[in-house]
Amino acid sequence: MNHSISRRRFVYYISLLAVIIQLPISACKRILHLGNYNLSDEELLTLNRILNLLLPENENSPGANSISALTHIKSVLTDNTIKSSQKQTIKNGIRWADDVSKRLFDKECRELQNMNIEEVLREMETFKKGKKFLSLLLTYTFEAMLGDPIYQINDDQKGWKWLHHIPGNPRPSLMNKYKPNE
Amino acid sequence: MSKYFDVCIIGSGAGAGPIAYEMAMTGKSVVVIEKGGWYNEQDFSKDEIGTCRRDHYVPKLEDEPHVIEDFIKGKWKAESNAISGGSFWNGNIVGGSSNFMSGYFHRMKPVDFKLLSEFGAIEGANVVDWPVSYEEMEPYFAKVEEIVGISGKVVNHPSQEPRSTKDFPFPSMIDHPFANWIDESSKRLGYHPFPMPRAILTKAHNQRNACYYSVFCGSYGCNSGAKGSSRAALLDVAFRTGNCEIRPHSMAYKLVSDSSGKVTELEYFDKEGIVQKVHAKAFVVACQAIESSRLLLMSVGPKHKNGLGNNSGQVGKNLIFSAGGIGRGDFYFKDFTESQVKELQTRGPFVNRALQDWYVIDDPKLGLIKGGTVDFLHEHPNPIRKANKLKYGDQGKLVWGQELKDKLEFRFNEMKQLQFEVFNDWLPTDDCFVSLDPKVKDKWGLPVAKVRIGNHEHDIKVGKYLAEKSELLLKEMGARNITSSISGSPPPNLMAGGCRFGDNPKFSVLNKNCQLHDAENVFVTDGSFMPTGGSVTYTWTIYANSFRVADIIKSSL
Repeated sequence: MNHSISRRRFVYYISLLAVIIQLPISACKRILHLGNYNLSDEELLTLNRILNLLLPENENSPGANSISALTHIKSVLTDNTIKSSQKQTIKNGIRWADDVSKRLFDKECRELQNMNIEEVLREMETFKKGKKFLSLLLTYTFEAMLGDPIYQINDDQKGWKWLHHIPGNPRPSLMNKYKPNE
Repeated sequence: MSKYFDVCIIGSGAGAGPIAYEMAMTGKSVVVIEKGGWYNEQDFSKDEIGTCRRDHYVPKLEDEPHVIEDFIKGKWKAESNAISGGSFWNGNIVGGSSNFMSGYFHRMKPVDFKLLSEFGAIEGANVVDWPVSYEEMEPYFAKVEEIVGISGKVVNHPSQEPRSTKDFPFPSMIDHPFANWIDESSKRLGYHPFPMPRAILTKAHNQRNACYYSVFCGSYGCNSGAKGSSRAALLDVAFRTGNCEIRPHSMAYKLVSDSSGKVTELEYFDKEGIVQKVHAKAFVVACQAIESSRLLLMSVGPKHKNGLGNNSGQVGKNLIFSAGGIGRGDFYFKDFTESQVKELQTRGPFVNRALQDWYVIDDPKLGLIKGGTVDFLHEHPNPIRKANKLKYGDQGKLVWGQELKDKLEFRFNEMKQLQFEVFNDWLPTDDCFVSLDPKVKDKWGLPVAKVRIGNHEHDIKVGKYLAEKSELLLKEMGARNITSSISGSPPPNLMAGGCRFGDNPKFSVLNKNCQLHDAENVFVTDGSFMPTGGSVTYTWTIYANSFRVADIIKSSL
């Protein structure tokens, strides 16, 4: 048991280390100090698969895709008021999910069947940092599902309609909505 | 900006508004220095993301942290909350946190002014009597009802305090059907619920509209002006006189004193980070308890080597919060008739009931001790917050997929939750205080406040007693899953103390007029002055005391 935990932790730390050693020093500085949390196309595909597993689409209720959860998390990663540690947790978590996928199934996370992604996420959840990552994704998915559509989320108020939520009046306008980087 | 003012106020919340209002209305020149921005009714919306989930109205912790010192595993451990999280900011805009309050307003009771005399000393607690009495404060409680605007209905109950007026100037708010359920169940239990006084207008007053029952009240700025924030009720009026200048985006960092110890000017950074100065006859500090102590401690001068007003080392000491906690019960629609479910689903009115049956507890096991207040309320309507609580399942395991969707559907569509909040005294102790952190600085390079947060075990005992009584009521009403959580965790929006007033300069920072013992042209009028907090939310008392001090300042100018 102890061995297993050590190995998992080792995989986690190695996956973080890999990020640093594969990049030139200048790029490391950009990530760690200037706060560039943009995701690559591959990372976005992985994140999208995870989000759709956390909140799947079905006939009666919206899923991650139809509430624009991915778009929302992309905007979170560029929001100056969000703690950089949270953004780093998301970015690290996506990379870690791919690492765990490769170790368990010899494939990138985005290439897996849902049941296998489930296994990857449940393994990540056994670590404090993995749980934090998944918890953050759920929180921001809820924001996308139940926040005001003025932020290009909760498309056609699908989340509100599903849960019969009536928003408060007045709703935010283009003038007084939250503008993160102003 | 070198104009000479009669009064300079630092901060713009409940401790500041009455001073600005009274000065401006009597022709005195007054300037309000506020760190945050200046918003009005049109700027606010019921936007959960913008208002409640981002640092829109509070500083980013990475820019302006506090260092929080908790007792962990047998020793005090200090950590910046830029790392640990948990903000102690409560609304840094003109009007302060009063913009975002729920407006549950209760007066302190006569017994709150003489806790030591009535109940005796408690080991490990620095309990004292107040240097003023309820009778001295009563006219100002009444004044707040009129000027800020408090709605309610006086009914007889075991802890109804004496009043100089028969009833509230504004009629009570409309009750949610839950209120009737509470009343009926209370009758069976022998409890005495009463309509909750609210700092919310039920009819238009002084260019402010009546409440339109938006549902989204606490944590949100008010769009009608009905909520009695310092901004809407007082500063806007003061500003319209032409005698009151408001300077937003101004970070005060030092009250400058001369060789006699008297304060001559305030220094602050403006929006561009440029140093500005204000000269005035009198200075009023009202930045909320932690920040008021911090400003005084930073204001070192020739006669104030350890900080302004700190010659006895009392500034920052005896910080208090509101003790107690929260409880809840679920009402599953399947347990009730169709008409009852319709009542439960009523949207708009507040629950509007409170209990003070145990404001003084006389119990065979506990003896005669000070008790507290219980307020009943809806679960906060914010949907993201509500959903976010559902992500944890058994043993803290995360829930997702269809299981999560089923939980969401049930929680939003098949039940209603009623909550209660317990308010009791947070006893002042030597383990709850503010100092300056020697290392951590804010974005201006100023030392941040370090806050040690220790609570007295007695507070938990009282809170649990009140929670048990409240849980019985929820059970009588037919609720399931009844739980409560009483802890020593401080509610950051309910803070006071740190500059307690008293007659002896050795053990207090302020005299009974809320003047610094050793710099008489400086007053502190936020909750800092309170040596004990009573078992109610603080805002009404802060407003009332600030009106009282305004009379004192007026007579001194």
